[in-house]
Amino acid sequence: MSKELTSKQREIKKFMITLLFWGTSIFVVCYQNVVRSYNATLLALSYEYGFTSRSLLGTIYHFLNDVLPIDMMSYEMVLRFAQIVTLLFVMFLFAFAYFCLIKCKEQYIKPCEYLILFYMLFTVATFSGGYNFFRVDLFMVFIALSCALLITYGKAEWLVIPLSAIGVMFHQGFVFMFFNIALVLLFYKFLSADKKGMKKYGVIFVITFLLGSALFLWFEFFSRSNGAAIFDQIVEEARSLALNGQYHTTLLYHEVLGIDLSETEQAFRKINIVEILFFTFFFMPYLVVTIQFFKGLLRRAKTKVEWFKYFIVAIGAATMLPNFILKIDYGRWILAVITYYVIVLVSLVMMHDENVESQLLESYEHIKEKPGAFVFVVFPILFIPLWDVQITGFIQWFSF
Amino acid sequence: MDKLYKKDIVFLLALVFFALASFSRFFDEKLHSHTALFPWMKEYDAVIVSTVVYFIIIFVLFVVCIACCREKYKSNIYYLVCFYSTFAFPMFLSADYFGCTDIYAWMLTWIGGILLVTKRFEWMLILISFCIALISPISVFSGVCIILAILIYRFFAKKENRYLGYSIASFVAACIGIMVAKMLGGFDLDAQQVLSLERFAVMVIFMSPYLYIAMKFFGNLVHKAESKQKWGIVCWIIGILPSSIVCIYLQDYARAFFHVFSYFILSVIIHIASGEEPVEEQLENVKEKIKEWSPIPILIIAIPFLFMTLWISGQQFLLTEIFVDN
Repeated sequence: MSKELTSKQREIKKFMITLLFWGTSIFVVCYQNVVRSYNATLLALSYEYGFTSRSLLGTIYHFLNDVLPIDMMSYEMVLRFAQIVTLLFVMFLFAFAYFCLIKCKEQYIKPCEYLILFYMLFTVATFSGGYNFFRVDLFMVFIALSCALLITYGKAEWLVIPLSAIGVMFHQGFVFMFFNIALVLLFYKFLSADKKGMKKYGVIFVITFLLGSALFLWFEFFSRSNGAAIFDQIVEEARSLALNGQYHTTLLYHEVLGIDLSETEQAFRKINIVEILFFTFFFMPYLVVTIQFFKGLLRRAKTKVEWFKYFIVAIGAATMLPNFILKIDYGRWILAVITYYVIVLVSLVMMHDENVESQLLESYEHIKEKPGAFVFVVFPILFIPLWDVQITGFIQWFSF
Repeated sequence: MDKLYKKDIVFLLALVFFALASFSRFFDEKLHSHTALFPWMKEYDAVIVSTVVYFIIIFVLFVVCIACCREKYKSNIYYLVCFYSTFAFPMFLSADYFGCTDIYAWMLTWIGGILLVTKRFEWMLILISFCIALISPISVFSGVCIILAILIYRFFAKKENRYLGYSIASFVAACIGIMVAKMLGGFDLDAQQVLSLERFAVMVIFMSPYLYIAMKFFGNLVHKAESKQKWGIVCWIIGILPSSIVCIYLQDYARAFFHVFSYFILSVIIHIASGEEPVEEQLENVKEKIKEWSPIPILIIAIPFLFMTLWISGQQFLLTEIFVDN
């Protein structure tokens, strides 16, 4: 037993060193040392002006400005703050990877390592590239991953309720983008548990879902009542926070004044449609592998409940559909889909679901046998970093 | 030359998909101004055609190398071919190098590689060296050096005098090619300052494990070789110096990075495909060592490709707000 542990620990140690080198390389090549006007302007929003949407990050920033002996209301400080936050986030990703592997059985570590590398590539690149550096999505991913850790480790699971609420307070888009991870894992545990456990997970699931939905409705429809009165003040702050005083007008019009700007997004929709087609084509190998994995997993289900459980896991990313249909930031939606599948699968392996473990190993062995397999390990580098309206530089020339 | 097996074809198809995706990722329709011996080489249509031919020839080289490689080392050649593709596919599609005359030199080098692997019409290497020097003088330090390094290695390893003859003749032909290019007014090194010195320094730090791998590989190769063979290996190692020194002197760091990796990977591919036993054995040893060190050996390919994709070929976008008032 002790020998097995030693070899597992050795493998994890080696992998963590590799991951550190990998993560640092990705950060170095993608980092552009700039906070976009959108992300800087978001810091001007705060709960000083009411319980408004996307204002949590700004509130934290204003709080730091009040308690720290330095003036935080300048672009230079925004950049420093963004650098520290991103560094902490990347460290959290490393910690997450470590906690995952520690919890996995030794024979299933390898496929999990590949999943983690794949996820690190997209996440670190996206949040260190200029487009999404210090984007609020980073905080939402942090919340989603924390929820996954709490649920898989089975400790203080009630914390998922306030954490999900905080996620929605960072950005109401959390409901469609990352809420699915906590909800699917809770639902999975609800269906896997005994009677007592079912009650516990049922209650947590319902409260989490209701609280998240209520906050979403509030922020989306009722939180912008006195926008006009505070607009000038927010603009003034946004000017001091953004690079060269260029704040993001669209964000403030939408978030503070509640002006519907969907009309202006028509041109971007065309770009999205063209890009998603090409993206799907080039991402096909990974889609095929994912579909084959879930087909195999559903076949392994012995009871109807088990089948339903895996079916929910398979379609959990469908919460992203409203975003794909109504909104235009396809780069962000794709990161959310990748996050969902990687984190949920790794979480299920951490929870020692035998069907998921064996199916994952089978898929891994099946891919490994293919002579061109390693081409597809290198291939995702072409897609990074993910942007927002345009998915990535990979296919940008198709859309013009 | 053996035939291609089903698994070879599957691998090559995966590589075709990779080439297509690379085209999508790196191709920039803009053609910057580059010097060229013949005016038609600067024409947009000619550049497009030559880029397509470039991809066709590299695939012919891969097909020949995979078909000629011994079954035992097939997985190694797949790995090397994939590694080489991560450099060769993006390099001349990216905006800064799209339309450079190097592309012709590399095509000729690969044709030379095919001749070296099949061991047919090897005398044509003399003509190829002349053409490389004539069309792209900077490629004398890369393409011609690869050919010369392999010829000299073969002379010492196989003790066949014809290889010495070919290498001397190729060297002389390359020198004549440079002189003719100078007379015709086509002698221009066409250096591109894509990378800053700071970025290059960072890359060198990140690439230091590869230096260690190369040292292990060549160290063992020299250690196990007979006295005469050692000279061949030393010449092979020294062959990288002209290209690196010239590119660094010209501050064309991206080209230096590309040349160093291309030089070693391409020459190892040719040696493996030619059935050079000492090289095959050493590569196998290095592979085992890498497997011991790294739980994910494929990252050996992925890390230089990160730099190739995002620093050398560029991120393909400008955040306009960065440049306002700056």
